[in-house]
Amino acid sequence: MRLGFVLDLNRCTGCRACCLACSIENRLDPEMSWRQVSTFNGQRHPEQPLYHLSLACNHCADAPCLKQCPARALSRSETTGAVLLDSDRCIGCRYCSWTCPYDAPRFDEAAGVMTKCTFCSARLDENRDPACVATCPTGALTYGAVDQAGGVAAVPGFPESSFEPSLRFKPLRGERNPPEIAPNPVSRTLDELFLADCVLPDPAITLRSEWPLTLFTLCAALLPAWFAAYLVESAPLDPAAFLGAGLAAVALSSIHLGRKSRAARAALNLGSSWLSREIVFFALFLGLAAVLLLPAAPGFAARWLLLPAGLATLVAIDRIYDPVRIAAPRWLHSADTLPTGLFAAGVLLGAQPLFISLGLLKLILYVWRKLASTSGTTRIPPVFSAARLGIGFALPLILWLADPQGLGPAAALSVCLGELIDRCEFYREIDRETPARSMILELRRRVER
Amino acid sequence: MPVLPDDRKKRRAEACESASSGVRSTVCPRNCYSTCSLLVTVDRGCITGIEPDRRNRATGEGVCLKGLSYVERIVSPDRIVFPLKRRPGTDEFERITWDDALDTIAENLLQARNDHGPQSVLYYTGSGTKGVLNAVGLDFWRLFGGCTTTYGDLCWPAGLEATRLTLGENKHNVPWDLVNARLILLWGKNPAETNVHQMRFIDQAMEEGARLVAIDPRRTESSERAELLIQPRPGTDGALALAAARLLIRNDGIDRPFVEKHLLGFDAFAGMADSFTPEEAASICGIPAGSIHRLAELLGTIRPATLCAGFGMQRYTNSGQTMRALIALMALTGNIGRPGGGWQFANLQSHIFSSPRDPLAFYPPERPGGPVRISISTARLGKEILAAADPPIKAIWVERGNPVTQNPDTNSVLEAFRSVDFRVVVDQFLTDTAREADIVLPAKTFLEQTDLINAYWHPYIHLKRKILDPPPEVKPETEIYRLLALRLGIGEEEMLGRIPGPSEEELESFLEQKLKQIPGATLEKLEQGPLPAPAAEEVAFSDYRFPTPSGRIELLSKEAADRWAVDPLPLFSEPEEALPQVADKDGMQPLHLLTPNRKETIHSQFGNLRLIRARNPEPHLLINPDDAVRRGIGTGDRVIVLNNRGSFEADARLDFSIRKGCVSIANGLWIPEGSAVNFCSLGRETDMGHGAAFHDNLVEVKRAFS
Repeated sequence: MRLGFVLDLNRCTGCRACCLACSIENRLDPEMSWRQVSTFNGQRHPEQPLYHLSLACNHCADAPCLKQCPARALSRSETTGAVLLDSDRCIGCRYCSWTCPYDAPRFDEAAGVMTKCTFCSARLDENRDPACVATCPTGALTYGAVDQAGGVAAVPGFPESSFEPSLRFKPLRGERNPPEIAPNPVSRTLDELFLADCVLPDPAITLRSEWPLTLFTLCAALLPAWFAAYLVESAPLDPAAFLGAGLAAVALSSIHLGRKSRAARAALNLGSSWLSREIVFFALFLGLAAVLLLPAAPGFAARWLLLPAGLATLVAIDRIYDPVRIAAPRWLHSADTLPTGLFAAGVLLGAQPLFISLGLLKLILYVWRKLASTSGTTRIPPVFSAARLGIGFALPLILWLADPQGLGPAAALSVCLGELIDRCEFYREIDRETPARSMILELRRRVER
Repeated sequence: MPVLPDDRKKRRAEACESASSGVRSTVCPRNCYSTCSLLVTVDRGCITGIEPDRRNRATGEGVCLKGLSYVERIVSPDRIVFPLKRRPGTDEFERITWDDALDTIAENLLQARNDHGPQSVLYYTGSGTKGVLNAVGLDFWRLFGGCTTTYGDLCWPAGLEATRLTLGENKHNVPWDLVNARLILLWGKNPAETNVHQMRFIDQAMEEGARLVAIDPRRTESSERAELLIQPRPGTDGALALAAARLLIRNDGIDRPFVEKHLLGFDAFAGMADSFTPEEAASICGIPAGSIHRLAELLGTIRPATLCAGFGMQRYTNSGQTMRALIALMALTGNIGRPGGGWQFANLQSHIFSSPRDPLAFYPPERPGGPVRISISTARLGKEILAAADPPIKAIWVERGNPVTQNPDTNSVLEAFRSVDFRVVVDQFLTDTAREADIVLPAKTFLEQTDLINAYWHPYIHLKRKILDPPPEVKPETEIYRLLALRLGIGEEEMLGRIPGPSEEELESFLEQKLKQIPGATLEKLEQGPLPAPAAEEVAFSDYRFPTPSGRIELLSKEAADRWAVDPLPLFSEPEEALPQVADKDGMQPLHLLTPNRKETIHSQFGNLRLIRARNPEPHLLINPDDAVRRGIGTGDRVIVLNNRGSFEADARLDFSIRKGCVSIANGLWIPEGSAVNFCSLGRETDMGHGAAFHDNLVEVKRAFS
């Protein structure tokens, strides 16, 4: 028997009493609650229904937060099946909120840790319904065995996932007669006006908030390339500068932790968390570099061990961003660290097949994305794209054509700058899936159709 | 902005020291349909949780967000917890002692009484909280020698009077009987926001196959469930009802035996209604004639039907007659007096502590010789305070109300308040009215004094037990009056039976006295939880006794004509501000300003709390895209709403389903928030009942250029 919430869309009026009840019961800040209400068609398009999704944690059977938490702060209750978060173990990295398409884990700014719905386990122990259910004034929200509740697992606008959320909906009954609205004599059509008003919520992930990660991930991509070039003696490497850059990157990446003192916990979930793996692989990469670059270090050949560690780091980094890639294609972005690392290596090594193939791949991915994202979801000013193409591709190409024998430091710097712009765009283009976002996109799709 | 030097944490700690722990039953006394029975969890004197008391069959499902927010409201850092005095000539307030406050008040009241007589004091009360103890105020003023009070009401008098004239009494079936309805009409009512507990019964009825029709210029949360939404021009509902009646009568949709047995004036009514063809009504209402046919067909073929009428619709100059026409639809179809049927406007079956069922309690005649001069129309409060003579108004006492923003014509109310010599306001927060006061006295919250509470939707009466000690310097109004009476030289023996003493025992015996007249209700019985009023009927009028002059349902009312000088039939006439609209030179017509209530507030209450504000941004001015584009307005633009009475600003938002020609913004915002809607309304009465016709309100909307 799987326990969970059942929401009757016919009964929910979007009143948000459930949110207040959650906030009060769990002694949260008045502004915070673990349950949120998202409205479909709050702008009231005459031909679309208006309804609300009151959502908390769905305590998914295959919960991505639980799997991906690097600090093993999440666990599953044996009695209720609830996904519970131990705030003493949480490092405040917020990655669980990236993996969750339902926006369930919430960051507690004051405590520096994530918090989330527990099904009100203390109330369940007393045989009482969760607070949100107990207070729902229309009886729209119930709690019980979802596998016996009937209803449907998804409704339009509810984020799609493979995580088997423990939630059922009672869908809208019948078709409503849309209200009659006088024909619109204005030049722009009603739908154009509507779509102009139908805007996505402010992004939860922004370049402004994630600039340390931008620099960290770019650094993580470039350091192995630099090291590879050093190994084949096509680039100089000053151990202090190399290690300094690596340590600075680590320091940057820990800036966003809510609980920096617990940073070491991030390595605890090597078994299933790509975030843990990234941290361990990069630590291995830097650690090996520190040891092997010592004057008294063992043989030069051992230094090749750094390359697999570096590559593994890049694979892990890119997998971390799987849940938040929203631009097409979702499986590969031109600014992903692995292609970036290989491209940079190609340039620094002067390995023509490598940098030509990777450069082309990146260019194609970049242009494809720009062409595909015309549906009002892009937020990148064209000047960025021009700079990215000019500095990252055109200028090195010109330098290379001018001197096919060697790609000098100028070309390498230009490539790195181009990659920095692309990585910045990447952080402006990713976002967490949330119900509010998903409902707007669904509404736009329907109206555009 | 005045600063209240207080520390939230300290207050919480103080409160926690004082009282006990446990789960206590109480009731929310706000001016709201639901009047919920609540279970409050108290932990060392602090409210830590509020849940529904499931013994109330109407509200037992849950607590609304306002009810939950009491957790914050009781201990809000903004709450007034000691007397305040305005620093002369400023907008600043300073803390004073109770002795200072009462001395200042006594001195000013005595001066007004000596110089101009007791009736130079205006005693104004609003609907901020219900309770039997509210009556103590007027008893104090009688002991004072008299005062001036208002007549009429902002809320519902036109509908009450229309119902009383037609059916004889304001009562309807119990809320849970709605599940028996097979057709439900939400006419100008949006229970999803104003009576959320009704939504469960509507949904249960629909699960059983009931049909739902909504009539509202807006597309609301409630109309979303309807199969038919009719969006008439505001103030024309009467024409719609009469056209539907014509179709019912012509197409044999009425209940002939019921009509013959129980209706007075059917033939005259039928003759009058026959002149409202669907085509003509469609043109008056600005709706498709097909909608009227569909409405009549549903009404003619589906029984039982319940019509739930809202309050907003009866705040027009023609709305008493409108409401009479609506009731006629239920009477013609024989839906009165049967399960699942009827006219639901106000169910006053639990109003048993005083005599509000006597219409004269709502519409008292002037008694020139009496101590209390009932001479100021609530609807025209500002203008009539200014015009009062012999004696003029020299001092104002306000409690349970916020007339500055909530009565019509804010500018005139402000002018009137600023014209008098001395003002006292009793409140929990520094409302716009409190900001105008010379002395602000802290008001208790509902958990801080025992009282008896009734409702106007369900039939329960409640004992509202004191659960918390008020903050140390907060005194209940009864105690304020007692202390003031002593300062004014009124003896304890004079107060006996009029103003209860300070102890819980004295209060209880005072309430026992009030209960004595009601067989079947004792404090002991009420202690057990919500109690249906002893004589309340599950199905109203099931005995088909209609206490009208004729003993029948009066479609033709001589009393209406005699008392209110209206047509004895519910004839439709245009409301004053909806006469054929003239376009200005740019081809634009004025817009109807709708100022509904929203789920987050009861008028101007609750909107100041963090729990409420966090999840619900300030209301926008909703405008139809066509009206918006013509005015160059887009979503997010700051706009000015204005007419010759005044103006206010708001952020516009396009609403793609609101009726063209209407703009809508919730009432209840405070003036510092910028969007106090009554700057644009006019103080004017409804055609019957002395209600406030402030929804008769045409405005223009322009972009604000900053």
